[in-house]
Amino acid sequence: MEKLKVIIATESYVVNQGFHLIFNKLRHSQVIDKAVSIAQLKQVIKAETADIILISIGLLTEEMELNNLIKLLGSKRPALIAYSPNETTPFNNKNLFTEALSFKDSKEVISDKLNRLFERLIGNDLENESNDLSEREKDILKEVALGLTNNDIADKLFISVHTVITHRKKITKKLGIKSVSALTVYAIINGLIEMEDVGL
Amino acid sequence: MIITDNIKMADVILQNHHLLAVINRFGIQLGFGDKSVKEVCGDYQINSDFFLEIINAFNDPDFYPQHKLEKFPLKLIIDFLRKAHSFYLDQKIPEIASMIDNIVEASPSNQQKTMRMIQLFFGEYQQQLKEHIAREETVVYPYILKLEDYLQSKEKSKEAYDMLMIYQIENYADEHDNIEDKLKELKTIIIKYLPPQKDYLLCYKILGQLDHLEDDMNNHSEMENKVLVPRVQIMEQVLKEMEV
Repeated sequence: MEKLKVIIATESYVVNQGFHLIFNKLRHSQVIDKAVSIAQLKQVIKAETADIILISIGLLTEEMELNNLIKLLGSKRPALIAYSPNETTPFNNKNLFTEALSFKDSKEVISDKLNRLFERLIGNDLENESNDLSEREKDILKEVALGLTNNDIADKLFISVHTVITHRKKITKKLGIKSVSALTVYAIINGLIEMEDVGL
Repeated sequence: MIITDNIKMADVILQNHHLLAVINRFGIQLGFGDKSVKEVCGDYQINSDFFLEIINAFNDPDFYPQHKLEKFPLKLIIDFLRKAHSFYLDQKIPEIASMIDNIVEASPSNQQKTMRMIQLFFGEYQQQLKEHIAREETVVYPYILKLEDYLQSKEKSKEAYDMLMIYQIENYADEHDNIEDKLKELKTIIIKYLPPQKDYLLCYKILGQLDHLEDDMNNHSEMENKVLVPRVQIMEQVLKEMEV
């Protein structure tokens, strides 16, 4: 399954390293980058797309800083986690954050909060996480492997393109493979189609 | 550990043998005895500041060299990136390909279909990587070098200016993602679907090689995306605002 991509930004190298370890230990998340200042965070955001950004409120002392960041994130807005590095920094704009962590949180509290957040982001897949493809997903996969486009598949199976895309996302999550050629390999190895079907 | 120029080169390699591939790219061979990094760099006439930035970036993923690399000419960085390309295409990929060929040949006939598919997938990856690298070497890098030259030259011809304005570096970073995804998929397919083999040690070796290649390439594209691209973007901005 694909992991949620996390960017960490606090004023402290030590704290960043700590969160890096915590996120990477959890099953559903992986840290892709870290920053120790807002300027650095902005650079990171420009270069990479994340599902979650953890920001220390200690970095958000300038009034419009958070708004500027959100503007920069644009439409692909990730979930924001606020981190309180001490008891004194005021925590403004609480409603813009999806979750809040504090330096005082215990191991259990942190993992509870994060797992709850992951559930919300990944949806129901966490609970009924069956790794087997459903019959419908196999049908779709077969067509993908045969080289049909999303539009072709929608026409052929009398479903909307949107539904095809949803199925494909689920297939990728379950199998951990995304490209058409890798899906073709999967389909042939597992007997969904024959090599001759794709001219091999 | 942060590597500095007074550390023994041997200790650098002893603590992380993957760095062998990096010193190899600088043309450094084994047999440096107790010489320090600085001395070895001197022997091979390598800019030791540049060497340190690169070796640290490969040694510790958290070591961001982007600001420090700003002082080096892009030509130096691009030379290094080219050497990495030849390491991938001339050494690593053929090595993995021949291991895959060996394992396919030795597999029983009832596994032929699966084995053949894995071989084909690797072949496709190889082709894609070759094309990607060829594009970098024939289009992207020459463009960057010309751009750097142009901005430093005194005579700014309108012709050269127009040539440079055609290309934009912007979409370049996305191209890397595809190549990286594919390598990961290959690993996934081998781990999940490769049927049990008599020579299982060879399978492990293949996975080990793929892992090493993946790490190395991640570092390589980090350097391109985090050092090369931002610098080119700045140069492009200067170019745009220039009056010719």
